[in-house]
Amino acid sequence: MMGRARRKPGCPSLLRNAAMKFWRSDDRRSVGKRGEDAAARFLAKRGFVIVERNVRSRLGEIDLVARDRETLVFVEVKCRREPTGDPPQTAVTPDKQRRLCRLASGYLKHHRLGEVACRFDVLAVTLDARDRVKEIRHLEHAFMAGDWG
Amino acid sequence: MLARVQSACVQGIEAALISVEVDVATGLPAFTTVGLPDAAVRESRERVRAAIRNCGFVFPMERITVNLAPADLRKEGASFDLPIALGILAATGVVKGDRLSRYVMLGELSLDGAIRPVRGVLPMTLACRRDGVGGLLLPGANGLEASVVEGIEVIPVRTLSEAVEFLCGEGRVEPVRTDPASLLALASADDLDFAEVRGQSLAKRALEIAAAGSHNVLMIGPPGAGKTMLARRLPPILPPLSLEEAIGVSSVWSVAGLLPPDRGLMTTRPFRAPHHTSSEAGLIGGGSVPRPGEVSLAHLGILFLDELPEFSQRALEALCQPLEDGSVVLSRAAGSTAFPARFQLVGAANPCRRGCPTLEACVCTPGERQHYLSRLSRPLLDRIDLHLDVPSVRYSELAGGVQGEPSSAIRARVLKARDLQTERFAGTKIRANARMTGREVRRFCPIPADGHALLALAMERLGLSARGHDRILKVARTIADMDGRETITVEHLSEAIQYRSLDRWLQS
Repeated sequence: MMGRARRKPGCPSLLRNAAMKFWRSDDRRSVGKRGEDAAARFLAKRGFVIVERNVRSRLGEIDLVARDRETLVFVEVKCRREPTGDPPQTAVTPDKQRRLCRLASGYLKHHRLGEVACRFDVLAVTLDARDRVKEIRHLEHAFMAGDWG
Repeated sequence: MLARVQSACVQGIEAALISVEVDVATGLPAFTTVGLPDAAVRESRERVRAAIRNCGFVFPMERITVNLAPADLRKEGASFDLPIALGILAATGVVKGDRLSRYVMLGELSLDGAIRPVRGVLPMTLACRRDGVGGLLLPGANGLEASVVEGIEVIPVRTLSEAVEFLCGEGRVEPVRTDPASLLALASADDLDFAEVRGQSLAKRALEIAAAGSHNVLMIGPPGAGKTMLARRLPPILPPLSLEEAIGVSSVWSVAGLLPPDRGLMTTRPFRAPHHTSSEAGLIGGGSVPRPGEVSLAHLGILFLDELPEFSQRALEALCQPLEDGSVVLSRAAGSTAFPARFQLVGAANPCRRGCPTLEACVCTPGERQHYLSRLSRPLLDRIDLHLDVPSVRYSELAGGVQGEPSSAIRARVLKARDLQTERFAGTKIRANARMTGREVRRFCPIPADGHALLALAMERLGLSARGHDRILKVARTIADMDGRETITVEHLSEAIQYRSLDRWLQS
């Protein structure tokens, strides 16, 4: 997952090293981990069955796979610490959506789930300055495959 | 579930029926459109989704596949929004009943579910009649246009909800009905009258001949002599459009999206006056998906080209072929499209680049004058039957209170001459003398015995081609028709010859 940090061409190596250090920092990782935990609890409370967490393949990772009654839900958790500029869900870019779709169809294939109803949800978690969960927004049906043309 | 809805799309100025198939299945939520859609059709997804939600229906978050068949035909435009939306609602069981299969549907959706008008409705309605479809569900603003075609039930809808209600058999929508004949009778008499033109009696006579035989005209004269004024007064003295002709003209205008919304039909002959900077594609038609150009918009009407020598050389040369054939064929790698272009060309030109008032006062050198008018190539001039001088108006003519003849009187004479032609060409596709082919010229335009010498001399002096020779005979035929004479006499012939003045100018 960490391999995603891209090298920016023309960036002086000192700066780049600093950037990489931040990117791979435990701090960032802990924010993400906190968000995922909060999201799993949130969904469980709402009657979702958490099927799997952190499903990894060589394409990347699905944060949560849950079941909402008959529907299989692929959940992307985005977590940010206050004060933030944009809300967390804006980080689910078309590129990210495309990757999630590919991951999801890989997941379905792997588990031989052909004709099952599925959807993509996004959980936007905001933490306050002391890393307590401040707000969780649940975006059901956040996007569809094929939205990008 | 699978749903099938019928729609149509324009190909050139014809239309083809398209079957819109919508499949909604479980699986990864996705919305894909297949069947050679262009960008506007692919974008319809976003409009359809928003419109369905904003009308209070549920948009299925499932695997939606839309297929536009036949798959090899390129689909363009936004008119598939409504059929796709209704197909999705039918596939999810919102729209039920057999009405869905009885109507062809078209319309662009706006995000709030309102249905916006689309281009090319008239050809699509004609396609419905050709293929035996009974009804058409379309945007309210296009209702009048479609109702001109008889035998089709035209249902105008304003919103997606209204369309759903109608298809479920709940709402009542009154079909649009019009009587095309009454629309034609309404054709407004233009208030431009020949009586307002002072002097220029020779030019008026020539324009009357042009109107009577549908001949092409070139007017040459200094600025301010009244060339444009004369040209604008030509359409009111032309014979009225028949219903069949009106539908032909309206089809082109409908495809171009120019049909006036308050009238479903072009009831008067079109008058197009493109600027002289118009491109070749603008005049002839063009684009990767060909659109009709000015020659097609002027179909069965008048194409007025002011400042003819100022047009680009390529544009002028490109005019020659439609002038002869009455249609334009635009070929692209994806296929070729034919647009009708049976127009009457009226050109106007200054005698020299500076536009000097008279030949005596002209400060241009003979070489400059020659150069200016020689921009009009021989092939083009050859296709213009009447060249006429429009000299500056004298003060005495301008100040004198003599009213010219009103257009209504001229029109009556034109119609009489046209009646003779209709009788003559009964059973053929020809409507006017100018459209005669070589065979008809030999049959209907016998040269009088004492006219051979005159014609031979004219051909030699003016350097006329065989086409020029035939065109002189056609004009002579029209003059004889206006005279009410069965045969062409030497007088008719000599009047026709003197309208080829430019050939002479260019020679000297």
